[in-house]
Amino acid sequence: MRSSDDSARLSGRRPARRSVIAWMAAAAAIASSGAGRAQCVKPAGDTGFAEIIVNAKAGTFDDVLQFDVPVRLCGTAPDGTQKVFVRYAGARFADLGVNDKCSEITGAQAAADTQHSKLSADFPGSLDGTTFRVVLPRLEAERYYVFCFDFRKMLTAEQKQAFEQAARAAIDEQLRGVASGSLSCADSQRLHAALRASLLAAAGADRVITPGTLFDEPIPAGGGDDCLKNKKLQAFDDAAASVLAPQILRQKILAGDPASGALSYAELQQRLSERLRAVAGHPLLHRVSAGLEAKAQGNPNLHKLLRTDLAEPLALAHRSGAEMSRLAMGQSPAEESKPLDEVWEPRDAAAAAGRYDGLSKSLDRLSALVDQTAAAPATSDLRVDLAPAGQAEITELKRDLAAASGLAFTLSGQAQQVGESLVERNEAREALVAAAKAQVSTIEVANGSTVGNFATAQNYYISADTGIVYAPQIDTGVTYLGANFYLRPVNKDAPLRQLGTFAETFPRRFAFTLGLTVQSIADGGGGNPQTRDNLFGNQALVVGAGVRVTDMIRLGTGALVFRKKDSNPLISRFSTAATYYFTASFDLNVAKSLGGLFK
Amino acid sequence: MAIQVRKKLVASPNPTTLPNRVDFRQTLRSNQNAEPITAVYATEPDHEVWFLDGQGKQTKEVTRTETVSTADQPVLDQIRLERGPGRGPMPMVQITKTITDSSGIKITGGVCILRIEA
Repeated sequence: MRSSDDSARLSGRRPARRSVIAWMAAAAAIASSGAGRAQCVKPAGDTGFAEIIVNAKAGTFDDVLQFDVPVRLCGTAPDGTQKVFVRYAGARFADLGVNDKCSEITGAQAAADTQHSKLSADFPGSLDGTTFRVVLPRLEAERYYVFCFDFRKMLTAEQKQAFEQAARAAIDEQLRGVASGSLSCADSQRLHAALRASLLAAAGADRVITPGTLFDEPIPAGGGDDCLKNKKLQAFDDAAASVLAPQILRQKILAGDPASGALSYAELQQRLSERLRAVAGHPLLHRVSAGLEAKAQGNPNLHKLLRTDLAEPLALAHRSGAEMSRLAMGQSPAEESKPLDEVWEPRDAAAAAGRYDGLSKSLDRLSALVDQTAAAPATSDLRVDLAPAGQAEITELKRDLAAASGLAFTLSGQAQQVGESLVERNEAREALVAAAKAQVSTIEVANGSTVGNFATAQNYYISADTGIVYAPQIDTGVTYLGANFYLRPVNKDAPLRQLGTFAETFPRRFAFTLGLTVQSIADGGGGNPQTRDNLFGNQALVVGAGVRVTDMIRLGTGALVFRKKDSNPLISRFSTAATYYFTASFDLNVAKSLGGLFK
Repeated sequence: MAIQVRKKLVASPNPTTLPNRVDFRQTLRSNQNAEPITAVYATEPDHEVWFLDGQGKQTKEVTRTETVSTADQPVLDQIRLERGPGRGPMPMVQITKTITDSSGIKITGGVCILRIEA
């Protein structure tokens, strides 16, 4: 493939200007290698790009890569591709390679040459059906390149569901370990990186996080207060804080807070348990219960009241130790259920809150009943003889009832907060899961270079020009034909003005010149004495250097070498001499000028 | 005698720049009328975000007293915050509210994470 390119260069034709026959042959070859690539046909005119057709699957280009001009690649993407990105690595060494994800340069020499070996950013391509095109910036001369074509597809519904499930687990695992919501920028960046790594692991080897989403790229570490302005960090912190605040609240409610002295959920339960046992063991409560039961024997209304409204409050006097414990744990007295610190379902927390609320109300009702039985008129069915109880005993029971009720009230509120925290955390976590989108990524690799063989390199280093050479000392101006030798590769298809300032492009402008005059510079004849002659036959030698002032026009200076006659008129001997010159010339493509000469 | 949190602790503005006065709102309920409570707002001691007390002195804890009734009662505490010595820069700072009821029981009344921007 390269030999045909090289011959094209030697013949002075740019790839975009190949003959119609050559293009027809190329098009036929492309068409025969796959229907999808038939759309990748090089434009007939000069587009300003180096137009290259790539077979990403085979990893080949149809042309040697040009340097100093933008490159437009065209190729065929796999079916179903929705986005395509191209990333490339360039190096001076041919052992250049990249890893599977195209994120690191491999190859011993290439990887060691960190000054020149570079990995580019991703360049998004455009898609038309399965045909993609991507424009790449100018490549450097004499480099080896590896191009990675990253074809992206959206996940199928099943893949999406599986990823979300894995992402949910990954986010849970990472964030559950965070004990404080006070995070420095560095903490936050680390948390983002850990979450991103977990999500990538959850996504699988052939997946990437969708560009433009929260976890697509690591958040760079910013120094000082700049991190507080980083929009991506802010977005992540907002999302993370939404998960962490309810999570930490739940932790502090359940485990307590030694720093502030806030009681743990278990400590509150223990205190409630003690109060409930004190209430249940109070003789006065038993006398109230027994007295009311006795009166209810002959009173259907009181009987009904004891079996309905007062059933739960009065049952507290007869609960077993195990039942009291379960009540204190926010469980049904009849059956054990999971303690709240093992519960992750908001409805379980809400159920516990409801049971504490009911217990608090029962205790309040019991306290009111004690008052009623003590204070009811003698004729009332609720009047119970509490003797020998004194006011102190009543006060003590009521204090225990109030304390137990208060604890149950507090625990109800705490359980409610735990339930709401779970809801809030789940919603915030789902928002993070939704922010973590993945795509299927298929990476194909193709190798290319801007290193030509000798013939190609010759074209990069040598050009020809023709113009006028004027030597002031001998007051002679003639046309000349010269070859220019550059000190670096120069692509004549790359306009100088697009490559930088005059100083920046100086190496692409400067060349040494070696040429011959087209006309004779010899004088004499017509009765005039001869003072000089040409160096060879009818031609003098032009040796010097020049600078392209535009893409085509070169100004130069140097020495015009000729033969000079001895100044003694009696001696007709010629010796080699030189005089300075100035040239103005048109820089030509060497292949155009010299191609015919060397064929 | 006892306190319940009816609506979670919310800081406003959030995110905020510093220094700034931040409103902390939540709704509380007691199981008795006119229960006096103490609320302590605290943030971790090692970082650079500080409360300002009534005398304008930097502190890591601010105490407020409230009276709460049996009906749901919105409570608003306004606290000035600013940056001081400590670990930073901090884009997120946790503020914990501890409530002590009239019987002396301390509970975690709320946790909010204040987002800080430059």
